[in-house]
Amino acid sequence: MSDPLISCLCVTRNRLRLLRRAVACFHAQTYAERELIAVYEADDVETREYLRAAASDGLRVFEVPVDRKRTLGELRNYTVEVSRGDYVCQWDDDDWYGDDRLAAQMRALLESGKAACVLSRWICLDAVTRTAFMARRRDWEGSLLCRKSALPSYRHLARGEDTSVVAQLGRSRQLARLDRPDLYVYTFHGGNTWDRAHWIRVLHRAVPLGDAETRRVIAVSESDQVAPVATAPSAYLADTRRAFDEAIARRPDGVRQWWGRFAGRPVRLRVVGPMLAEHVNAAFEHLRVDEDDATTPALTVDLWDRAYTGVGCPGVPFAPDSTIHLDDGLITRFGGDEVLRYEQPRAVTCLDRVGQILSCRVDGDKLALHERSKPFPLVLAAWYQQQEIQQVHAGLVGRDGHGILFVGNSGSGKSTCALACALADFDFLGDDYVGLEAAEDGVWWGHSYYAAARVDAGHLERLPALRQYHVKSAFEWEPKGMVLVPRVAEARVAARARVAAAVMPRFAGPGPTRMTRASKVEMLIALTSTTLRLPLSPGLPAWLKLGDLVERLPCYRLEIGDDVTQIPSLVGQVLAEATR
Amino acid sequence: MAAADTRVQMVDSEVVARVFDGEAIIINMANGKYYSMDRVGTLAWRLLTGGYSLKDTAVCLADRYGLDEARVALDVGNLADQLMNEGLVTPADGPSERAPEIDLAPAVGETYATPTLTGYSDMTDVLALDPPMPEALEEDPWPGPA
Repeated sequence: MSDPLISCLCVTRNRLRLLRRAVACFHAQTYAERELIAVYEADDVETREYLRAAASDGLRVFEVPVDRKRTLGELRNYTVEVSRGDYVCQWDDDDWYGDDRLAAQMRALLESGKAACVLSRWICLDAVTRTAFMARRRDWEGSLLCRKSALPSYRHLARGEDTSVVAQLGRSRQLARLDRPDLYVYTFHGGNTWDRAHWIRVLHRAVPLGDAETRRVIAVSESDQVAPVATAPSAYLADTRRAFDEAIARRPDGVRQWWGRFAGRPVRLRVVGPMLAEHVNAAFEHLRVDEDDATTPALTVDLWDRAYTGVGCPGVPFAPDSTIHLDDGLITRFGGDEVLRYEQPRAVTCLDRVGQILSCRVDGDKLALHERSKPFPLVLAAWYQQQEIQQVHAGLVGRDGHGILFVGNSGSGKSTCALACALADFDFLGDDYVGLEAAEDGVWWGHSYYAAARVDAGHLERLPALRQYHVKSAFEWEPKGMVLVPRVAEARVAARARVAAAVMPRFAGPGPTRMTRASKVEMLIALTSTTLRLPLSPGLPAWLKLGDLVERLPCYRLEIGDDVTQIPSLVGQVLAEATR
Repeated sequence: MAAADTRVQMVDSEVVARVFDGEAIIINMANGKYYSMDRVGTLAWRLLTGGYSLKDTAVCLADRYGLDEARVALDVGNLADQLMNEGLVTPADGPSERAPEIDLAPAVGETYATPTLTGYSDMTDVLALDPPMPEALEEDPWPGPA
């Protein structure tokens, strides 16, 4: 009786060099009864040309139209539908397979009497860094060989579509495990469907191979040419810089330049687009300084308005190390943290390690208030982090250079406290995001990031003096307005203050406004539970640092009653006590 | 419940603890959970992780607060069990030196309350550390060409 036919199922896209290797591995298999099903999408011309030339009885090729985007799960299900074999084997286009992979797995499957077989270990190769690892023991989905009648359907997902299939086979005790890591080299080449962050999870508890073994893995799997050439850091944003230069060249009359001191560091800002420049200037006007143009900036901020200049923002033509979805955008990192890029529907902002922010806004005339009041907050916070300044979710006011932090969740009263104090002879430094820096002498400095406060109807009711300064959003979906605090006649702003105490406000309902002592543990929990949730927060190191801060501060609880005008005098008493 | 002569030690490789004004906050870096302890619990924690057995810890606390040792021993035993269950301490390997800096003077005006460990798991994803990479493999897992 002849061996059963195995259909090797390959979904491929834009990976010709790797696909050739995968096809060569198929042809080299010692197991005779096999076919390779290769599915690609109609707009992938290079793959089409290659596969049509390579097609044979053993290599069957199927093109899928691109009338709509299909998930990897859907495409895998399609390969199963068109296969002829009684058994199917996942044959990813970016990995390498030993010649006896099919024979060994089929033997293990039949001897076990089960419906499927996976490898319990495989070799992981990072072709970019030329490092190889022995993976931990696990049911490695990519190695699945399964009787077709027992194969569950793949979920319609772009990634992770095979995990549930293998999990289901495992739960129904139909999975045989074969420990032959030499049969499979799982390859990270920089252009994978998933990113380096996923790769790091794959490498959890993996064991590094020695140099000699790694060289052998690379040679046998022919992996020395699969990764892109290593890149100089400046290359990542070269196209983006050229776009900014082009924006200046097209509209030289629309360029505005000025200097600021951000946490005391010299920052040069250039904006191409008068309206965009006006908004950005307003957000940072309290940090503006006269600076000699010959000064070496710690940060340059180069922004342009796409609608004004006609110049768009190009992409970064390299594979990212990691990709994270955040709100309506995508954060990507390149070159081992050389570059951070945040792409949103109406703006792209990049930060590189040498201290340059490049940002393109779709239309400077149509900025939402959150963009006007706090431009590029995530990327700017990342730059501050590079300066070892920790962004915290807190308000800050000061008097005579000494400051009070207001700590708490959104809606706890931080903005109300900060604005009430700003209207009563305190300096305003921020209502919800400020930076904290530990000096060598043990002093903690609070740095102002932005001059604007976001306000809602409740703020305007409690603090009617702000009504004439209230800027309403032009967008229905943006309920909060804005107050540019430097424009408020009764208010002052400051760039920094020594942090002297911390207060946790809370709206307590009718009754007097009262200040009581709070425990440091309670304060640390309140401060870290919001701060550490900020995007790109460094996690435990930030927690430890904030613990150092809280240890030095007297801590209070502020119960806000009917009359918010009592807040400044209570805060003043705390400050006087703390600075005595 | 652990025996009275049990000594425990903090899991140094995975636990960070800090005391602020007599109250403790403890992080289990293995899973990102963190805990707060009131003043009595913090003193018990400092004694237990400072080389005192469960019995000796109960004696110290009973003396400090003028209480019946048996009642305090039950509370200390429960707390030790909780600390072990949460992975914050393990039974000590052998006899250990007592930490010298713990102030055991009787407290004026301070009242005893059952030591309480309050756990929080809202920051597990930001506080948990990634596992470290193991040492390089010595055996050759990759059969070379014959």
